[in-house]
Amino acid sequence: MRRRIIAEDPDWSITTVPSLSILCLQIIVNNFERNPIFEMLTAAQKEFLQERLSLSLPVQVTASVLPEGPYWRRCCQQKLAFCDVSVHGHSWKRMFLEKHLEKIIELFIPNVTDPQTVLDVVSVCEKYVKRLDISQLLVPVVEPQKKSKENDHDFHWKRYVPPMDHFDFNILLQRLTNLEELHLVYRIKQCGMNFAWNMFEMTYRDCETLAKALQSCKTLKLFRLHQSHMDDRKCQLLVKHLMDHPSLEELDFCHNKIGDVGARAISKLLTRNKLQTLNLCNNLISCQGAKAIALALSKNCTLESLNLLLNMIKDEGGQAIAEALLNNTTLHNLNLGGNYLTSVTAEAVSKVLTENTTLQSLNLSCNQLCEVGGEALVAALSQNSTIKECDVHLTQVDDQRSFLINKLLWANQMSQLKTQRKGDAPKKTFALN
Amino acid sequence: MPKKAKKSLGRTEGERLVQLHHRAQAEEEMSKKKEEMLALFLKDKLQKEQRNTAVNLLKVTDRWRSIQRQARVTELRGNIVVSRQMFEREVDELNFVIEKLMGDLQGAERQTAHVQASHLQQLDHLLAQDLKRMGCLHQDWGGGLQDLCSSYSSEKQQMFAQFEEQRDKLQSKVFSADQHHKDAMQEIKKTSTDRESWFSSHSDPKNVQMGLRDNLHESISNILGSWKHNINNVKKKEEEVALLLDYVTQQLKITMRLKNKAEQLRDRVKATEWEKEFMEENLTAYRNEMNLRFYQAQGQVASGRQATRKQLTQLAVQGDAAAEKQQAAIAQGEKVLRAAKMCLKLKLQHEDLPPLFAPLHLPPEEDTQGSEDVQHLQQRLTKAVLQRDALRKHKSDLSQENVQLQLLLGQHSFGLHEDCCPLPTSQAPIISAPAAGQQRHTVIEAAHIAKYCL
Repeated sequence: MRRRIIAEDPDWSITTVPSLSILCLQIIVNNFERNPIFEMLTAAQKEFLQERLSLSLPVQVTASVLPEGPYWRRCCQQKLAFCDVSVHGHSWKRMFLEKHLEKIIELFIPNVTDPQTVLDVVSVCEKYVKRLDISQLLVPVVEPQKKSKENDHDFHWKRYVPPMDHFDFNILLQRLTNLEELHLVYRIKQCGMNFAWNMFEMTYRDCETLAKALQSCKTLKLFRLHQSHMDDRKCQLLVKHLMDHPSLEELDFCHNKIGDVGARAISKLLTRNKLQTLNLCNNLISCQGAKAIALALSKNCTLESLNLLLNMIKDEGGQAIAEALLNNTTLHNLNLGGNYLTSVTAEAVSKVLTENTTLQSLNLSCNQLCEVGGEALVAALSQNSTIKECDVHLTQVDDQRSFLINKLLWANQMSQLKTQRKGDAPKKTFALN
Repeated sequence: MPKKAKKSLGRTEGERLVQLHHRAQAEEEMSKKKEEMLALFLKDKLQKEQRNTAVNLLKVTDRWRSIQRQARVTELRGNIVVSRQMFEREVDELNFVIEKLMGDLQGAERQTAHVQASHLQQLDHLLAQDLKRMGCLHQDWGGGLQDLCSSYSSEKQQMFAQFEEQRDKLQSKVFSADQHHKDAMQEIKKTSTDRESWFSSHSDPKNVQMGLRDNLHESISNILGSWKHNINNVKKKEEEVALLLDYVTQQLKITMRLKNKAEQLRDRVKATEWEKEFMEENLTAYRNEMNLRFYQAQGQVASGRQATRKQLTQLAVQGDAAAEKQQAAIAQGEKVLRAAKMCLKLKLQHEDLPPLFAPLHLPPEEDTQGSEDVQHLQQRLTKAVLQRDALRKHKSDLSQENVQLQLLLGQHSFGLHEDCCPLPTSQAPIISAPAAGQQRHTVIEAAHIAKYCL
């Protein structure tokens, strides 16, 4: 439809008048907050709306009305600096709501912010939030105390520090009925000059509330609490409440201060729950803890992946775990790097490898295995055909032996690939080697 | 007694001498002994005394040392207390420092552990992403490999199928050719056998043979003729074929020649095109050069114009300055003229020299006349100046004389009490300094004269 220019009229605009439906949709867009009309529209009209809706609409309105689509994509692209949709199950809506909730929790100041704000958002997003990755938890505001001259000399008599309790998860986790993954870390980003070590620790009361909250969340599959200065007592408390949890599959307590007592509690958890992955890297577990875990491994256990990187289990613990592997038929990945192990453990592991047929990935890096350990591993790997990865870097094993190890592993991998291919397509006749 | 006295008398002198001697000896011995004893005694005493003094000295020194020691001990005890307090304080400070450092160390260790933990986490995350990517790439690679394999195998199958088809075709053709060959061989055999049979059947009866020979001859001649005919035909056909071949070869040659010519022409065309392009490039280059030069020349012209303008302005400025200077010179000249006029007037007044009318009446020509008048004027100027100076000096002398004379006159008037007529004022002579000195002298004489006059 063309329009002729009428030269006498300076207000004449050349653009065609949009059709009535589009005008109506514009008005719907402008008044969406008061009157969210969406369901009654056709698919094309819905597309139109989603592309044009204002991004500053409150979540309460949009979350329940708008489905997964371009609107949420626009929201994410505009408001989130860096986001990867694949982490959130390729759903823009889910990603936006999860990030929104995370941000609210991260900016929640315990005695200042009204918990109702959190509850409002939770009631809206509970159906969609499946994964929460909280990267900071704020502490209550503390007024700066008057400085006296004596303070400099009194530093080693610790002043009474008021308890810094963080966000109470009880109000949150009960209502999130679809939550499957929870990542927590008790720290504060960008604290600048207000740094204090107690901002990076979780208090005992935090632990209590968190434990109760976890017990109430029945759909949780992955729980990760790292770098929060969690010691044995807190670990025991959490484990007590996680015992017999119906759906927990993956537990990650890395970078904490868990010792032998905590390790013993976790081993009890291993026997009772159906855990598949356990990550305890960078803790303070020593021989006793490792023996407890080994005991749990040798009993009927569903654990597939065990990570004890950077603990202090030493040869005793290493040998205990190696012996446990003789009876274990579920463990696929074992990481014992950086545990002050020596060739004694390497020999024990080698003995096990000749018989074990489930272990696929073994990591013994950063231990002092030396040549003796290397030889034992080479001898074992030549008889084992399931193991695909054996990481021995920084173990003082000769280059020659590590090369041999790699060659054996490669052979294993190729044979497995061949069997895979044979299963897939019998006609293929190419060969790599 | 007297005997004894006599004896003694008798002896006395001798015995007395001897006795005296003996006594003296004894006394001497006694004295000697006494002396020796004394000496011994003294020695003993001396030794005793020496021992005593030594002992006393030791005692004194001991006592002195003990006293000193006691004093020192008290001093040292005081020092000990002070230094103990000092050391305790220092130890406390050092302990404090150590504890502080321990606290710092623990804090630092905690920080490093924290940083390492977060670093590890980031690395794990990165590793996981890398492995995912590796897996994707691996899958892509496997998929690509499978595609290639499938395509190769399908091509291979196609080629095999084609090959077999062709083989079948060839086999069928070979088979048909064999059959033809066999048929032909069979025909030949038939004909040969027929001939042989015919020959054998017709060899016994001679007439038949003759007739047959004639027939044979006729048939043979017919056959020969037909053969010849055929051969002729074949030869003709061969000739025709040869002609055709020649024609074809000629045509081929012509086409080849034409092709060559066409290629040559094409090459020439390409060459000319290249030349043309080259020429065009040259032309454009020249044009650009000319444009550049033109612009440069324009620029130069503009700059030359500007320079000339600047020069003109400078010249105008300089001309103005020169004109001003000229005008200043003119003013100066006029001033000089006026001064000269004044000098001349003065000169006329004082010297009655013939006036130099020529330079005075020709002021506009002053600057253009020769330097003689200027020198003349200068001489007159200097003269005028000197005269002026002399006049001034004369004036000052005269005023001094005046004062002196007035004083004298006052004195005289005080003495005379009479009206005295003032000195006749006469015109000051325009003579140099010694005249003033003479005048002074004459002034005194005048005063004397005045005295004598009155």
